[in-house]
Amino acid sequence: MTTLAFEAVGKRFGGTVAVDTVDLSVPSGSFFTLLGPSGCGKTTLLRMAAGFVLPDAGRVRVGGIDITRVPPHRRGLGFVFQSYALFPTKTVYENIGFALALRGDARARIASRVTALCRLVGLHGLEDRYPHELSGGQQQRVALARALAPEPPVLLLDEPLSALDAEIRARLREEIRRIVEELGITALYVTHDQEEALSISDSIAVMRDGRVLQAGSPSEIYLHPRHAFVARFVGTANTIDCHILGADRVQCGDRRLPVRPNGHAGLAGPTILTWRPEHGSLRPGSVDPAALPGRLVGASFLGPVVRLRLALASGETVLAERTARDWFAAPLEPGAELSLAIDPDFATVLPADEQSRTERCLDFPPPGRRSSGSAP
Amino acid sequence: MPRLPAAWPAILGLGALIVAFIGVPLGAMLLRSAVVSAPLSAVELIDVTAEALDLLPAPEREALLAQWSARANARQRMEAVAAALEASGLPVPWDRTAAYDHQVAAAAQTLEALPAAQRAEVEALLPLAVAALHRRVPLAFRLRDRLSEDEFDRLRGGVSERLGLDHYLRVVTEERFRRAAANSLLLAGVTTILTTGLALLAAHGVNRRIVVAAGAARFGLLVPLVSPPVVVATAAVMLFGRNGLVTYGLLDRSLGWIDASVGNLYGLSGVVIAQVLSFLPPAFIIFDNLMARQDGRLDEAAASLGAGPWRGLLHVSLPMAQPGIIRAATLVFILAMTDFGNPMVIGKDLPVLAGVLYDEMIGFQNTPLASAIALWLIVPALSVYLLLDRIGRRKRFETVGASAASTIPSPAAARIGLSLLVWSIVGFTAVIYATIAAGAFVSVWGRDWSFTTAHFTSAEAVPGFVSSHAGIAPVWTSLAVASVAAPLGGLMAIAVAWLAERFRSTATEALSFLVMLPAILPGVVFGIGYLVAFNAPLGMAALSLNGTHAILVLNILFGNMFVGVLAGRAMLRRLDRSLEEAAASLGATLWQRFRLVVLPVVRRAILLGTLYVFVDGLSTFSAVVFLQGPDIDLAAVAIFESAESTYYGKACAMSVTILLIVFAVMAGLRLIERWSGEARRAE
Repeated sequence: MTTLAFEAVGKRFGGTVAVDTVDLSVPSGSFFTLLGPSGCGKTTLLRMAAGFVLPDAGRVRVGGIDITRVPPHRRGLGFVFQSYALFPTKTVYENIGFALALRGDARARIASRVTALCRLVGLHGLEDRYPHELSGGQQQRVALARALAPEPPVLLLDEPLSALDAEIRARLREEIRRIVEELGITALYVTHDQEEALSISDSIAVMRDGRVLQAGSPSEIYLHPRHAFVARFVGTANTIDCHILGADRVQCGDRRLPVRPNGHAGLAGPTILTWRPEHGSLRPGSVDPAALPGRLVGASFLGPVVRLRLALASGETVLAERTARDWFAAPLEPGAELSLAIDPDFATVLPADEQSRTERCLDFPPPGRRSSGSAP
Repeated sequence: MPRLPAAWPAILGLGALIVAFIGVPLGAMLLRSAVVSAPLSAVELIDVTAEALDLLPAPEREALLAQWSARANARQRMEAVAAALEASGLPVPWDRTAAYDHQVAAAAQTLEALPAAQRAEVEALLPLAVAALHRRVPLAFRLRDRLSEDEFDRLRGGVSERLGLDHYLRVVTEERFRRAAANSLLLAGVTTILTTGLALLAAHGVNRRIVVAAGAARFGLLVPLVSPPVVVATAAVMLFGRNGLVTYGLLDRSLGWIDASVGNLYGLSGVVIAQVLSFLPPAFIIFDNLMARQDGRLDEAAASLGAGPWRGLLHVSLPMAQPGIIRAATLVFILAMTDFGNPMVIGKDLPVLAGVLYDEMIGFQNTPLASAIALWLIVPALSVYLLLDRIGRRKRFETVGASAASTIPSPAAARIGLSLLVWSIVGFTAVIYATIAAGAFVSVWGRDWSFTTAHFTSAEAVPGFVSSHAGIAPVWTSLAVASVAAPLGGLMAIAVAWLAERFRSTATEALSFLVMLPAILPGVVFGIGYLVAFNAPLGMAALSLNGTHAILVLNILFGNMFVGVLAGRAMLRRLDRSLEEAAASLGATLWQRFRLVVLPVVRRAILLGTLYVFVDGLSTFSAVVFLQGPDIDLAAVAIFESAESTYYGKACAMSVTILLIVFAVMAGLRLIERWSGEARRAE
């Protein structure tokens, strides 16, 4: 049971800041995920925990002990690599038993431990294979077992699933979660896949440009983002410009909308209103003063739900959802006048960041691309 | 493959060339090494002569025999009696080693003592025996038109050739060869271990960025790849020899610490140092290529599992480097075994097998024995390879393409140690080149330090101290030969690479194997092969290439083509096949596809192949040393001969000129590359 803590940790590579003064505490026994786009510093932070990279500033503590200057081979932390990094000259057995052999464990003890680990990660019977004789998923299981073999208090995982097929990725992610829980160790997990982060983690820290923007439980991150970027990066979010009218009310265009009181009243500068597509409800007509008026421009069938694209009177485009059953009971024609009411509990006001406008149009959420054409 | 017919003529044509100029010489040499000449026995001589005589009309034959028999003196008659006795299956009862007059008397007695029938038989054979023993040469010339080349040689020389391993056995059974072989093995063993170890450490240090200024260090380690022969040995003698600048000038004369005539570098240690420094660059390149592709994550994985830098190197990096160790060790072993330049310049009292080969070849023109020795030279290297490969086969693995260097900071001790090691190698190399450069402008190294440019001209630096080579003229000969061979080699290599990649078949695979052979076999073997094969190709002396410029061009071209083929194949493998198929669908012929689609893509491979042939043509000498005729002096050979006969100024002047040419060409190519790159960007 060990906490892992970063205290004001910073790292530059040449002129670029990779990690910019990060304070983060990973509670003992928790599954903690660093989530962010590539280049956000999440991997550098993880590698500083492992000792592969020396921070320029700040300290790293494991169980309260400062390990900032301890070389990686004396830290005793497990590390799982994106590229597996199995020793190609060694068999599965030798890979998993590597750390144990290094520290001089008795042969019998190594054998029983390797066998147990093979069972744990589902590799039983493959002990004599070489890495290149295994599939990607099997290789990553070996890597996991190898990292777990010396019973590290903390396991560090660097995008371990991103080189795998979608199906194996989903299955292995459940298994990693199960194994870490079973062993009760602390895990720090790096990914750029928000769905993976949401499904696997106890806590998530969303990073961008070397900083932690928001840390919290998956539901907090998803339902109550405290940063426009977090809203856009995790899941699909609608963001539109708004003016603050009071603690629980904003004005968007000519409509006044109720929102969640979350301390935004004091915000200065431009603000945005953000919510998830599933938190809006559509009604025919456009007269409701507490709802946004818009015109249906597209619909795409996603299975359980149909995602609708609305062009608002302000010119902004937002997404809304309807269950497939509702949609097929009463499908709408493109051009239909609608009003979108947002569940105030999930309507969040945030300061607009410099990227809000451009990214909203181009990347996040991607209404134009994802919902082309009309529903079947 | 449906397109094969179109490429068929090209494959056949190139294939014929490759077989003729790589396969045939090697085969001819192999055959020659197993040819043993032995004198024919008396009985065989009589048979051969009788056969030849049968070609003559009966009256002429009888007249000749009678005439020869009548003119034979007593001793010749005695010898004929002995031969006739043998041919009749009778014993020769007298002592054949006794004084001749005793033997003559004994022969007459023996003849008389025979029963009448046997005596008649023997006496009937006598004229033939006289002819067989003493008149075969005039007979051979008389019958020259009617005999084949072989029959003529056999009749005239009285020697038969057979296949046998006698030459190979001599190396094992004769003391002088055994001693040389033992020296060679010791030398090659020590050199291989040192060179491979140093190259491995240097490559590890440079690629893991443990060494200070790793990029510059890599450059410094690779520069000596372009090096005229025996440069290291020459510089070492100039610095540490009996009259060496350091040993004699500094330690003996100035400081009085040692006696330079005893305390010098001559001998095994000197040869080892010269060989290690000479062979380090190619060994380093092998490890460098291997480790540059190695995934730094493996080091990190090892570290996260508790392996410090030293144990990580031992348990992870070393096993990963194993294929490189096998390749480098085999390469260095072959180079060291077949190297006669360094031992002859700095070894002096250390006979090695390669030196014996050189003597047999140049001194005694004993080609069969030299061929056998050359093949012996490869045996240990092949055994080393097979042994190491056997050990390695237990652990097959594939390296992953991913490559990001590990970022783990290395401990100070490793940084300091490896930096010192690598930079002292680079520093020593720099000193060697500086010595060579200085030596080119000094009248007589160690004696007369006055400045001179005479080594570059045909003028005498010191009256009376004249090398057999006038100025640096051999360099221009080499330049001409290399300039002809290089572009031909580069283009042919690409054509072979393209055919091998695009029309894969047993035929093309066999061809590329043949092309690779000179890479594996030492230059000596390839040189002797040419000498044997093209002395009288197809049995026609008129076609002989020996002593011509052509044989040098061909040898250099085909001996170094493999680099271009390797580079070309690697590049073509990355070229999208559909590009060519698109061109074909637009109606491009085979030649148009090669010229318009393939050539532009493999430009760099052609350049590399051309450059390699060019540089090797200028600098290596182990193959051409046996091929250059009496009227042709190649720079590499001239440098070796000058250095070996202590005309260091001449050797240095030629080496410096070669280095300047090579570096100028490389710099020129780089400029053209950059310029054409910019031009393309500007479009």
